[in-house]
Amino acid sequence: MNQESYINNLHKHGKRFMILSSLFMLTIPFVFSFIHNAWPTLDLIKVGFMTVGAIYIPIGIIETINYAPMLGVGATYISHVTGNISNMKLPAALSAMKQAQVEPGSDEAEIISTLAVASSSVVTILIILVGVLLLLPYLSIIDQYLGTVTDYLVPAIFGALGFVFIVRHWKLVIIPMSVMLALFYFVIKDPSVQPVFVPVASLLSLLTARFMYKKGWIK
Amino acid sequence: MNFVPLYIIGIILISYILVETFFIYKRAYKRGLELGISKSQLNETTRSSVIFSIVPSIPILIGLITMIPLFGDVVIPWIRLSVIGSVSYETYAATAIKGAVGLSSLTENLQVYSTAIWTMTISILSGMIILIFFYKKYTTQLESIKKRDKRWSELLIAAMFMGLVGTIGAQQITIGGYNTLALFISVGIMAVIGGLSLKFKWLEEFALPVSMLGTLIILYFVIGGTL
Repeated sequence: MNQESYINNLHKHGKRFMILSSLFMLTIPFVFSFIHNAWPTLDLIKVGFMTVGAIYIPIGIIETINYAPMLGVGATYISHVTGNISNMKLPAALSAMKQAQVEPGSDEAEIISTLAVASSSVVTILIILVGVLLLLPYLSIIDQYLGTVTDYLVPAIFGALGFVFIVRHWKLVIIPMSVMLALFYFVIKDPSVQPVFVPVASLLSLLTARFMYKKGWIK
Repeated sequence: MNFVPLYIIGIILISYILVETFFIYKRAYKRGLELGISKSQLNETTRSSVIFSIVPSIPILIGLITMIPLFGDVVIPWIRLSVIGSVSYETYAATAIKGAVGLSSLTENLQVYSTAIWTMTISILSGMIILIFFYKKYTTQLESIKKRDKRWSELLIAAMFMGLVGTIGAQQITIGGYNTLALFISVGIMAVIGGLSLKFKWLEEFALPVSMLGTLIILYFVIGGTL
């Protein structure tokens, strides 16, 4: 088997996985509405899509386009079903690729990333399951101890991970980071909205990288 | 409210996802051996990803508790957080819809409740729908860039990742306070472990989990927590 037929098989399998999972997911609201005979009215649906859909549908689409090349094919399919991509699956994949010393995008990286994201997904599913079964009565105590610091999990992950990549490609981070800093200092001050700008920064980063590559500033 | 059928769907859905994930894993493992990646490397990747994923799973679990009062039962938060969703998305979505209608809890009105779960489900499927219809074409295009200019295709992915690093980095720096401190503690620990792992290769596997956990522990004491 060569890599091309491996990837083609993966697409076939992945598509089936996406279709069946989304149908399963849709049965949840369907069954709820059915057994309680409570169907959303048109007005309520409008409210729902104005407040949630309007934000999350575009984010879902853009995130997929943005993260897919970093994750590779197998990892993309798994992580779109199991979620928590930017805070968990992507860091797991990138850290595994770095450790295995493979370049993201290569045939080997495709494999390493898939293994990392698959393992990570299983761990989260199991921890949540065990948590629901065993820890539910004690969760408030856990929260008391960990709650003060879990808000800082994102900088704790991205500091370390960012460092690794900045050391290797420091020229690439200057423009996107400076522009985002300026933007967040002066214009978009709400931290909960800021992550929405990842695709904008990625596009900017791509354009400047292309420019520097053409000029021969990066090799 | 009757949640029993939802538990059954949840069990089926999550088992199905575990099985599919296992198959994709097994195939990748086999393909990895064909590509000449050593068995020990493949196992090490699995082990270190398992270790890394334990700590970030805990806030998801905590997020789950905060969602229980909103949904009146554990089943919906359990399914949503095991599958596809993320803590911030789910909480925002449910709160936004209930706020827009002017309720204090979703459970007060079954129609609002069902609207919330319909909207949350449909909205988050957008990424999967893109994958079903356009993903193969997209990867073919990336593959052709790779064939034309291998170095550029590598830089392209690095550049996309820098968009993420730049945005999150800038966000954490502008928030200031403990967020910025956490960012730099984590950078510092990683730099030390990175340096040491040039000499002790086995350290690399623990670099990310140790940086993350170390940062949180230091921060816990800085904030004034006690044992």
